[in-house]
Amino acid sequence: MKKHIQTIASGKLQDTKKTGGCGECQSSCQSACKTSCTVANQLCLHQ
Amino acid sequence: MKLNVEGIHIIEKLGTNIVLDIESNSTHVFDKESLEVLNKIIVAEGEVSNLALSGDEREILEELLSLKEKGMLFAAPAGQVPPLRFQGVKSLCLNVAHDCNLACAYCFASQGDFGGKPSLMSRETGRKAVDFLIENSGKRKLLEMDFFGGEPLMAMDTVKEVVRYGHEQAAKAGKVFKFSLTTNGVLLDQETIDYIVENRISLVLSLDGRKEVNDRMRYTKNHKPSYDLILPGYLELAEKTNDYVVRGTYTKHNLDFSEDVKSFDELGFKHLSIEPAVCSEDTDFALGEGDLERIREEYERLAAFYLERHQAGHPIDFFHFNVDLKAGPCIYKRVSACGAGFEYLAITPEGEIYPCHQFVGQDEFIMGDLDRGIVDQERSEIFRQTNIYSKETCRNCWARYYCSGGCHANAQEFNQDIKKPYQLGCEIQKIRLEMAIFVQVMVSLYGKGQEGDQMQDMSRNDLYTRDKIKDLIQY
Repeated sequence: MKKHIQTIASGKLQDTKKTGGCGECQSSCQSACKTSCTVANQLCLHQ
Repeated sequence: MKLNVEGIHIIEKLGTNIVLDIESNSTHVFDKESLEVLNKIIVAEGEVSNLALSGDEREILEELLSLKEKGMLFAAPAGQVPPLRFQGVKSLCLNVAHDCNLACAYCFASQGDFGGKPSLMSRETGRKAVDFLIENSGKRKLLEMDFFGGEPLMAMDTVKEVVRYGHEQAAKAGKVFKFSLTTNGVLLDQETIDYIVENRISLVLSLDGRKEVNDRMRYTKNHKPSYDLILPGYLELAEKTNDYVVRGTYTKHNLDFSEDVKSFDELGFKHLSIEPAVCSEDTDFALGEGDLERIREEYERLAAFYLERHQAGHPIDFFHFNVDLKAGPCIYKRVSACGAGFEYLAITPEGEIYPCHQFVGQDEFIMGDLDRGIVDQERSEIFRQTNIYSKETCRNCWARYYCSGGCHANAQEFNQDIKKPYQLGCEIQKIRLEMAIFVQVMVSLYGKGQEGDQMQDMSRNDLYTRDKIKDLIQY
């Protein structure tokens, strides 16, 4: 059977409900004057 | 069976159909046929029991349902997580100078003094800020302090004292300080450059790209252009440290801003960023809704440039395309915005405490001072409780787990309510995120053997990679 979908990233975001929340990651100021840092471009310390 | 089609966002670019499953944070690429089936399901609002499908389409539906079973498609909304627990203050924006030697047209800080009297922070106040951060940091180990202004190099004595005292006190308290500094570059003499490099201070270097673009908006108080004044210092810094980002601003005057990013690259800078100006609509350079299509085209040009360089084996590090599709922060972080008002605070030269640097000068937002600490706990709690769930426009936005709700201060400025995001900013953010996701998908699909390079580039600009932490702790 032909495969029609390629998975690039299989996220498990909701699983981090159990493991996340340590708060040690970098601050993510979103104002443009400081090069707005979306949470998407941050790394988690535990990965 | 009803599938959660609300949790799907589709990005179609250059014949590539990217499907985001928002709740699970999964990313897929669909071919033409599977996208057609998905669109039929969306039109049927997720109800698939009575959907008229051909035999081939039924097979595709099976593939979709198999992804659903694995939790990677049509993932159900998993309910709200509680606001990030307050675990102590983590980060201070230290406004060491409410004064500036440039008078940039778009400055949010009223050319440096935030609408008040020009002033510089004393060394004593700087030390108090260090003490305040350590005392209020709870069990946190990693603490951040950003020298800001105005122009922080105008208060270099205080910067040096804070760095010295900060490391000394952090060592006693079992903490680690990371310092950063945002500068306009005017005062970058040899001694200052050497000091910054030796003390491993992360840098944001302000420059708007091409000389004529920069000099139109960034000039001295006597209206003299700044480009030639600042460039040599930046180039030397970029030779001596990797811990910087060159940051430009685009306005209505340079909607061809991909050329400005290219000009950074041509100068040899490795870590690049450009941001939209956020300013009152009554200026001639303000961006507006009517510019969005042009802005989208320009990010497409940037994406093309990024991918071209990547394929040639010379990747650039464009800050806003660094989206980590495969990992990234936990859900608590993704819903909680920037932490302003509780774990991130700004300190003025006089020692007043504000929720963040963008609120400085608005007296009603003063939360306390370094002598008394935070007195306005109620306001702090309001900020902590302000997240993507409490912002109506964020609750169902596809970008909510990438963006986390936008800048509170922009929301206050444009809508007089920190829970009502600045709409133009949202639209630009979504354009930029779609392009970032597209770029990362393309790298994943076609950038064989180079993905590692790309991730390495990404980590160079993050203060808290594991390697850097190790490095910092050794320091």
